[in-house]
Amino acid sequence: MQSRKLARWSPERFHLAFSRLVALAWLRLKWAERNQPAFGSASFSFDREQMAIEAYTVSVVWVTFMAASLTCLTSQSTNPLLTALNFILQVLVLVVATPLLMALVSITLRAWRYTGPDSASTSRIQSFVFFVVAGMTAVVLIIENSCRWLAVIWLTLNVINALSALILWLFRNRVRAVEEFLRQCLPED
Amino acid sequence: MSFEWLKRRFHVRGVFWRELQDWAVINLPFFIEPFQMAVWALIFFLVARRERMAVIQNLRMIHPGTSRIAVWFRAYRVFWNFSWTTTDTARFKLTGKTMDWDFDGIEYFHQLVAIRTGAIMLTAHMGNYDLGASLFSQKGGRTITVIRAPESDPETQQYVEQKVDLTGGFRVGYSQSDSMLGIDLVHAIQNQEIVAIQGDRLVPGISTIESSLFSHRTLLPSGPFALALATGAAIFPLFVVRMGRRRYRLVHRPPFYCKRTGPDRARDFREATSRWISVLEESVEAYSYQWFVFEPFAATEPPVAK
Repeated sequence: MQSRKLARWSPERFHLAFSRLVALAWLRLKWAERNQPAFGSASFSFDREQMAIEAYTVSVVWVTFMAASLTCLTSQSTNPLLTALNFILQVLVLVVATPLLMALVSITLRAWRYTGPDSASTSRIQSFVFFVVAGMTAVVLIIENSCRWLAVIWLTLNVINALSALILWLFRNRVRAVEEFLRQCLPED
Repeated sequence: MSFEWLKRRFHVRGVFWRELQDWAVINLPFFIEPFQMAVWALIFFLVARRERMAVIQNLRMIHPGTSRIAVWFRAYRVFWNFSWTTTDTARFKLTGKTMDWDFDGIEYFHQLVAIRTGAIMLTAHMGNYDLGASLFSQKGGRTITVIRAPESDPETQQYVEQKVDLTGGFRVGYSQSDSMLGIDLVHAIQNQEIVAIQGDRLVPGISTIESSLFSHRTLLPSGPFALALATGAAIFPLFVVRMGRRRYRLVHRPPFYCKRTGPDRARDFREATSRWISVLEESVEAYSYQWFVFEPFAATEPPVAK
């Protein structure tokens, strides 16, 4: 049971196009090590939401952007200490309120019942809603003329991700070949 | 919809939270998960007073001399890890998505897979024991019967039974005081199957053996050792430890036997138990932040003999 170390960085273990592109660039740098077995024994899962670093980064970026936006929209003070406190408050409200709000919505709609493996997952819709909310916040920031830089950063990140998706699509055959090679490194036994 | 029904449903061990978790696993985007875990673990940590105090009491016995703040932090970490592991189990059962794995003591894993007779996999309520057993049956190509404690809430128990993954030679039995489970397990081992049992937590009414864990008197289930004695099967200690987000380690330890060496059956039991206790203490001390025993392990009642 010897998996190859590089299999860990297979693009198909990442969700966002930008992360997949970074993984591909990393693999290109380390490709000479492709036949080296991992130290010890390991088995990797090829799921697009597998990488912890990506999940935590996206989570932190989303919460930071939303909290900073809310701080910009609600802060009347020019005192940096009060603004920092407001930001911390917004982070806490977001982190605590989002799960509770989602639980409340699911209870209200009685939508939490799991109906079987073929039941349609709404995770893509939910993901889309989260990014639409962030996008609308960016638009409000631009209209309100407060912290436009924040909106510009957010929109730039989205443009970078879209461009990454385009590059990946152009090199789709090569990406697929790399993924297939790394997938074969996973032992079945 | 009576008050009693609502109380049972929304109790910390009630079925509602399982349903909500399954819903979240299927529906929520992946980047919401990290802070969902932190928040829900905190809510349960604050609400489930009895479980929290039991975990704190256990941690104080495992790490004596720990400060009050440190022990509370460690107790929260137990709840936080429990949230992650139950979510990972739910994801595996509902979507079939597996995790990253690595092995500690892989030579014992190979030994267990290759053994041509039945065997006992002795584990603890640590990390993702449920997922570990299920994956083992898939990867190892062996039929495995997992014995677990039933849920205290009947509706939750019914829900868990409906959702259990019965594919790929994976079976589940529940340790209950009035069941004929022992006979079934002897047959399973005689049929060259593997039986996975948790040897660290008691179900009220089942037979026990008195022992000492972290220098405190405790009662352990005697079932695994009685089964080993009756069948001659080897006992393989195994712990499934969470190492990070969707990443686990299978910790295997050397196998041992519980064999009849003379007329004194109790002495054979004690020897096997002390082997298990030394392995259990080592693992629990190293991974106390994911030892999911939500009752005090130090015993106050006398042992139950059967």
